[in-house]
Amino acid sequence: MLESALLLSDAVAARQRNDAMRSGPAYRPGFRFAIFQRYIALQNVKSQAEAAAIRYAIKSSAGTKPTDLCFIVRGTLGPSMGSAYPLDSVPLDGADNNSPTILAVEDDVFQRITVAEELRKQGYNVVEAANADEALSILQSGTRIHVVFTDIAMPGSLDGVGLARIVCSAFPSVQVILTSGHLAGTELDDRISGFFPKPYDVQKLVAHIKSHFDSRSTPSPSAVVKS
Amino acid sequence: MSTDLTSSTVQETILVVEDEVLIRMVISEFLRGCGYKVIEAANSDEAIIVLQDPEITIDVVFSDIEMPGSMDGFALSKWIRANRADIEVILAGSIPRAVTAAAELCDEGPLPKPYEPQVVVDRIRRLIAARASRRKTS
Repeated sequence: MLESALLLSDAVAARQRNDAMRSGPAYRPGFRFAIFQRYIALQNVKSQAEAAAIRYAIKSSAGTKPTDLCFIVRGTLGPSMGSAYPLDSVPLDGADNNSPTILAVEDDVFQRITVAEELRKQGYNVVEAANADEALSILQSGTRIHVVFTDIAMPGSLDGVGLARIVCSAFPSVQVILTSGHLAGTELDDRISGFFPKPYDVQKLVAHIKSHFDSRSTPSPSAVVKS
Repeated sequence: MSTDLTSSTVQETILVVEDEVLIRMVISEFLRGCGYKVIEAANSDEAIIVLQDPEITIDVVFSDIEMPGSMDGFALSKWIRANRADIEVILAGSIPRAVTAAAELCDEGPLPKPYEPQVVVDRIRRLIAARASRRKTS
C-alpha cells in the first residue's frame, strides 16, 4: 500500500505543480495516471497495487533495468488513500468522462493523424496505434478502450482482421470497426460492428460510432487485463 | 492570471516521435492535457513524412533516441537541423553514450529516460519562449 500511495502522491504532486503554474497553457486534469519513476521495486508495486485493487500495467521487467514506465490505470482507491483522485473517474484530455475512447489503428501516418484529430474534435478520447502490435500493447495495458477502428492491410505480425479476431474474443465489450482500400477475399466476422471502405467520410464514421453509443446510455467499460 | 511569452492564442504543435507505444501514448496525452496540439509518429520515417508536409506546422519535435528503422533520434535531429532549422528538437534516451552524443545535437542537452512528463513540458515551454524572443530581436 505504501508504494502505491507513494506513486499516487507523486502524480498528485505533479498535478498540483501543474495547476500552480501560471504560464503557458493551463493543465487540464485528465491525465491517465502514468508515473515515470526510477528504481521502483516492481514486486512491491505489483503486490501493493493488487492489495489496493488498482489495475496496473508495468512496462519493464524486474531486475533488468530501471523502470521506464510504470503505468497505473483504472484504480479504485482504498480508504487509506482518501478520495482525492479516483483514477477511473478522471476524464482524459478535458473530454467528458463518458466520452468513449477510440483506438485508431492505421499504418499510414497521415490517415491516422487525420482521423484521430477529427474524432478528438468531436469530443472522443483517441489513442493512436501505428499497427496491430501496438494496438494489442495498448489493449493489454489495461487502457480503457471502447472502440477499435482499424485498417485491414498493415505490416507487422497481424493485420486488421487478425487484430479484430483477437479483440472480439479477448475484449468482447470492445466494438470493432474496420476500414480498407480493398475488401477482396475478406470475410467479416458478424461481431464486427462496421466496415468503412477507403476513402471514408470521417463524419459518417463519427455518426456510426455515435449511433452505437446513443443506443446505450453510457459506454460500458472495456475488458481490462493485467499484464 | 499573468501572461508571458509562452502564453499564446495559437496552439503550439509538438511532434512526438517514439516507437514504444505505451510511452508515446502517455507523453502525448500528457502534452495534450497541457494544451498543446500533439502529432504522434511511431518512428523517424513517419516523422519525416509529417515534417515534409507544408500544411503541417510543427514547433517542437520530441524524439526518442533509440528507435528501429532507417533513422534513430540522432539521425532525425541531424535531418531536422539540415532541413527544418526553425524547429526545436528535444531528444530523450537512456543509453549513456547516446545521451552524451545528444548533448551536441540539441540545445539544452537530452532528457535522460525515464523522464517525468512535467520536465518535458517545462523544457518545451522554455524552448518556445527562447525562440519567440530570438524572433523578436532578429
